[in-house]
Amino acid sequence: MSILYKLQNIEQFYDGKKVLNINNLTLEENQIIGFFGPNGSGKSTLLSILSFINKPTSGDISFKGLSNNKLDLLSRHSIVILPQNPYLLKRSVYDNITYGLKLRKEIDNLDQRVEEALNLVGLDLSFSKRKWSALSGGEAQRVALAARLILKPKVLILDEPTSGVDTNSAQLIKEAVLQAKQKYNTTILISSHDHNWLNHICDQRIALFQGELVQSGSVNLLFAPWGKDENNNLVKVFMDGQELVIQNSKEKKNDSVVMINSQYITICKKGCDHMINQDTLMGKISSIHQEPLSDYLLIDFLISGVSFVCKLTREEMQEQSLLPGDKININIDTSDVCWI
Amino acid sequence: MNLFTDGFDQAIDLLMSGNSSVYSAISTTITVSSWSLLISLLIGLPLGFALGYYNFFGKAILRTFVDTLLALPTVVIGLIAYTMLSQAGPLGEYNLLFSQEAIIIGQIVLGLPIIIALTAAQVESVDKRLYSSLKGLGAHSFQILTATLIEARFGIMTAAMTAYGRIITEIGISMMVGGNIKYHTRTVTTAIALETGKGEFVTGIALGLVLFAVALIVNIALSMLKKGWTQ
Repeated sequence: MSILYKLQNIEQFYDGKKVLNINNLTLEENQIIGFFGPNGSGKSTLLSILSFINKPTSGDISFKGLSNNKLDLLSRHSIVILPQNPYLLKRSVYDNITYGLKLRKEIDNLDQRVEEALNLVGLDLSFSKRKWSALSGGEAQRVALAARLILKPKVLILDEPTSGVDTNSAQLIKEAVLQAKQKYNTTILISSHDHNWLNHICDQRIALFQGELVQSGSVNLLFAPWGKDENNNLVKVFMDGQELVIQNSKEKKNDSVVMINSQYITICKKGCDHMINQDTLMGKISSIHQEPLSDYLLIDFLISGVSFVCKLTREEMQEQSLLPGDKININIDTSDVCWI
Repeated sequence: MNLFTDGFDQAIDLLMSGNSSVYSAISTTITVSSWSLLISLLIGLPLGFALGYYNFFGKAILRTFVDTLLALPTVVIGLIAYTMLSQAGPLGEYNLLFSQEAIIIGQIVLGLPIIIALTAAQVESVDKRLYSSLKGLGAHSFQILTATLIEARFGIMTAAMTAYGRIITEIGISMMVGGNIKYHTRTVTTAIALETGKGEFVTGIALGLVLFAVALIVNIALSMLKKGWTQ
C-alpha cells in the first residue's frame, strides 16, 4: 500500500492556543482510518487540515508526495469532506447533490448519477425534487453524504457523520460509507464517538487527546469524573456501582485521562476461578470482530454502559466459546496504565 | 385633505392623458435609477462580499467608514459630484454635467455604500457551515462568492430594494448635477420640487403618487420573485 498522507511537525493554533500538535503521522491509501477522542481533542481540526480546507499554523503536510502548496486542482478535487453538521444550500436536493459536479464542470448524465448517489444513501429519486427545507435531520445528512459520494472521491473525510441522526439514518450512512469504499476504492477517514463502529470497519484507529496523537490501535480511554479510594487512588465508579481502582494514581489530578492498552485486560466466561478476585468486574460482550491486518480478534464489551475493547487469539476465543451478549468476568491491570 | 384627493385624481388624469413631460420625467427616473442600481450592484456585491467574508487589517475601520457613508446627504453627494464634473473639476473634460450620466454617477455614490454595507452584513450572517461545506466540495474563491451571494439572496434583495428606494426618491443629486432640464434630466422628484415651487401643489402630489406607484410596482415584482424562490 502506498502512502497517501504524510504529516510532520503539524501545529495549529487558535487565538494563541495550541489545539493540534502532531509530530509524525502517515496514512496509507485504500484504508478506512478512524479518529477518536473526546470533544476538543483536535479531531475536526486534523480532518480540516487533511481535507486542505485549512492550512496548519506550521508543519508540513503532503498528499501522495505533493506538499500542500504544490497540490494541483485535480488532487484537491479528489478529496472531499463531509463536515460535522453539514450545510445544505437553499436549493433543491437535486441542486445540492449536483453542486460539486457542476463545480468540476462534470455535467454528463446528471440524472442517472443523482439517482445512483441517492440510492447509495437509501433515498429514491423522488427526493431529488424536494427543497432543502423539507428534509429531516437524518435525510439532510444523507443528502449531504450523497453530494459527496456522487463525486466518487479518492479520499472521503467524514467528521462525525452519524452524530445527531436517527438510528436508521446512521445505519444507512454506515452502509453507504462501506459501499463507497468497495465501489470507488475510496480511502475513508472518519472521526466518530461510535467506538463499536470504528472497531468494526477501520483498518487503523487513531486516538487523539488534547491535540496530540495518543496511540493507534486497540486502546481504551477512561475519562473523569473520578472518585478516590481510602489510599487516595483514583477510582472509576460505574453506574451499576462497580469500581475500578487505578493503581499508583495518588498524585493524579481529578481531570486526568487514563489509557489502558487492551493487552492489560483479561476476560473470562467459564472456569474463571483462577482469575476472580475482589477487583474483578462484570461486563457483557457487545461484539466480536477481527482486528484488521492481524490474527487477533477484538472483543468489544460494556461495563455498565462504558465501552472497552480487548484482544484474544482465535484459540482463546474458541476455548471460551464467547458470543455477543455473554456475561464475562474482567480483570484490568491498572498498575502500568498510560496517563494523558 | 382635498389636496390629496385632488392629487390622486390628477395623477390618474396625468397618466391617462399621456402628458409627454410627465412620461419623460417617469422614463428618466426609471432609466437613471435602474442604471444606478445595476452598476451599484455590480460593484457593490463583490466589495460587500469581500468586506463580510475576509478578515484583514483595518476591516473594522473600513466598516465604520462605509456605514458612515450610509448617512451621506444626497445634496452633499450632489455637491461633490458637481465639483468633480464641472469644467474646473477633474472630470470636467468629459462634459457630463447636466446629463443623465451625471445623475447616474451621483446615484451610484449614493447606492454603493448601501449595497456594500448590507451585503457585508448578509455575508457575515450567513451560516458559517456554508464556507466549510463549499470548501469541502472543492469550491474556489469565486465559486464561494457566487454561492454565498445566492445563499444570501433574500437579504441581498432587501439591500437592493433599500438602495433602489433611496436612489429613486433622491432629489439633491438629480437637481445639482442633472439641472432639472425638461425632457432630458428632469426626474419625478425634481419635477415635484419645480411644481411645488410654482405653487402647483396638486401636480406635485400627483407626481408624488406616480413615484409611489413606480416604487410599489418594483417592490411587488421583487416580492413575487422572492416568493417564487422560497416555494
